[in-house]
Amino acid sequence: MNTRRLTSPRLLLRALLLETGAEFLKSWRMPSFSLPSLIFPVAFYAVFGIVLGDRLGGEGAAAYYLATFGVFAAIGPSLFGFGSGIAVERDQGWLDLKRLAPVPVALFLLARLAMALLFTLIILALLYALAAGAGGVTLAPAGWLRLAAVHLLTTLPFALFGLALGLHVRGQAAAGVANLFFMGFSLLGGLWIPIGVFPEILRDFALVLPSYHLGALALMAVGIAEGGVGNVLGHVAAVLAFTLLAALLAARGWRRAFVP
Amino acid sequence: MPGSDSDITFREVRLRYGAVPALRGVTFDVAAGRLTALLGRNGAGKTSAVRLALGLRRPDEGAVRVLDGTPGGLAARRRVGAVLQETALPETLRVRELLRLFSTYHARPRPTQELVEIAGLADCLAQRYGRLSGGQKRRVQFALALAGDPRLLLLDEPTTGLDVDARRAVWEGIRALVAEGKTILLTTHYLEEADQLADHVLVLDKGRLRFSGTPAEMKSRAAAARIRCRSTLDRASLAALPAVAAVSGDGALQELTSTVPEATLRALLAADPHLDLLGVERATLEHAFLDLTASADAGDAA
Repeated sequence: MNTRRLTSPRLLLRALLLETGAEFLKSWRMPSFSLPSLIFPVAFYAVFGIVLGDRLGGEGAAAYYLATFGVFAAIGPSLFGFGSGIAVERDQGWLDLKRLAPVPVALFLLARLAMALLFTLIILALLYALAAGAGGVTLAPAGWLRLAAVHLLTTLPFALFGLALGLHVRGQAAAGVANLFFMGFSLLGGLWIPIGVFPEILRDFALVLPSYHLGALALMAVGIAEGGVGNVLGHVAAVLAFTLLAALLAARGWRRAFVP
Repeated sequence: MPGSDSDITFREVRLRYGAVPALRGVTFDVAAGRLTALLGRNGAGKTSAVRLALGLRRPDEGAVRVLDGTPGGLAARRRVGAVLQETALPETLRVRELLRLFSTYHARPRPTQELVEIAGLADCLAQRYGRLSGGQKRRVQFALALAGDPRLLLLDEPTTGLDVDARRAVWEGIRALVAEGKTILLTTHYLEEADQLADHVLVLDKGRLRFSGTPAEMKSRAAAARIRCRSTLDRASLAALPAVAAVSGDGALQELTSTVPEATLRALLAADPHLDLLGVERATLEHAFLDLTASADAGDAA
């Protein structure tokens, strides 16, 4: 019997598609995951960016909050999908069962990443429609693309960070820890309130947070230079550094959790 | 095809979790095309043995080979299916979706229709996993283990926690696979299950292998029968009866173990006309199991 043909690219691609579909359906049908992921960013943006925006932030509020809430929206599915998702499924033995399947384990991680991207795309579509329709945000096509690129790229570092978290923290506790980081990254990174209003010590602290740098990149995409701190390369480098750190932590967690 | 007749071999395998030993030098073979039951109480080391055979853990000492290869290697994973103990599958996915998902992991999956028939899932395909009964859940896991049409199946307590009907349904499926010539290693703490299904029984107790043989051989390890009665004869007279291996019991009720119960009974009834409360029980696997693990306890204490 020829057992060598199993890893043909066609079969792997098919498995990846079905795995992504299953990941998506699994999460979509879980209201505790899908509702906060979808509703929070859109509702917050409607309140802060559009209803209160004109009164508090003046002209550019709708665009400003579109940039930062887009980053906030993209962190959710990746941080929770990987963070609490991996932790719970590891405890339940579901991941063990998958590791026994004769496909590379990267397939499962890629499918989960694709699921987070799909969720993020749906939220971004809602946010962008709200911004353009009700917030009066007008951007050139290239501006929308740059903004979408920053928002979608946000998924990767936080997916890796979530993976590290899900491998180090057990079961239900992971959801709580992921929530703490979600709030921390968002608030202290200036995604809800501009960090200009923070005391200096918090402004300095924001510089070590990837959420701040991604927010700054998103603001640049909509034509707002955030406080004049750093340039594109500086922000990108900071995000890359965080991505690398998260990847190292995830690899360490993987060895700890799974290598026999 | 593997060159040997054993699909799994354990050689002097030791495994510990921290300071707690799980397996203390275990050697056994699982014959190809047979059903081997790994029997033991909770904590005997059964699940550890299964996880080693699947490559989810590596032994601290000794060697484990599966289908003439490394456990958990790609070649092994293609031909091994498993039902793990206490696995929770995503509750929001439907049975049909789970089956389809696992089919895509294999180049030559077993047709879904066959999986549905063997596992008896025809009436719950459209249901979400979270809404299934315990028995149905186990049958779904069973079907997923078969998705790749594996040569070797490892079933870690596939019927624990199931009611009698659900257990019999799983047994049906297992028998169908044995008839197809699959190799199956099944762990259980139900002696009846080993008796019903197994060609070969391995008894594991406190991390050591206590017995390896057929269910019939295991039963023959125990005396053929136990005779309980209230007798006016004293202990020495009872022990002197034909074929009596041992006498125990308090003053009111005695228990004799006999290798030939018919001979013992004939003599007993003749010797004691006042005998009453007579009960005779043929040896079961349970007696053999208790004898095997009890003598081991005595050995440990010594």
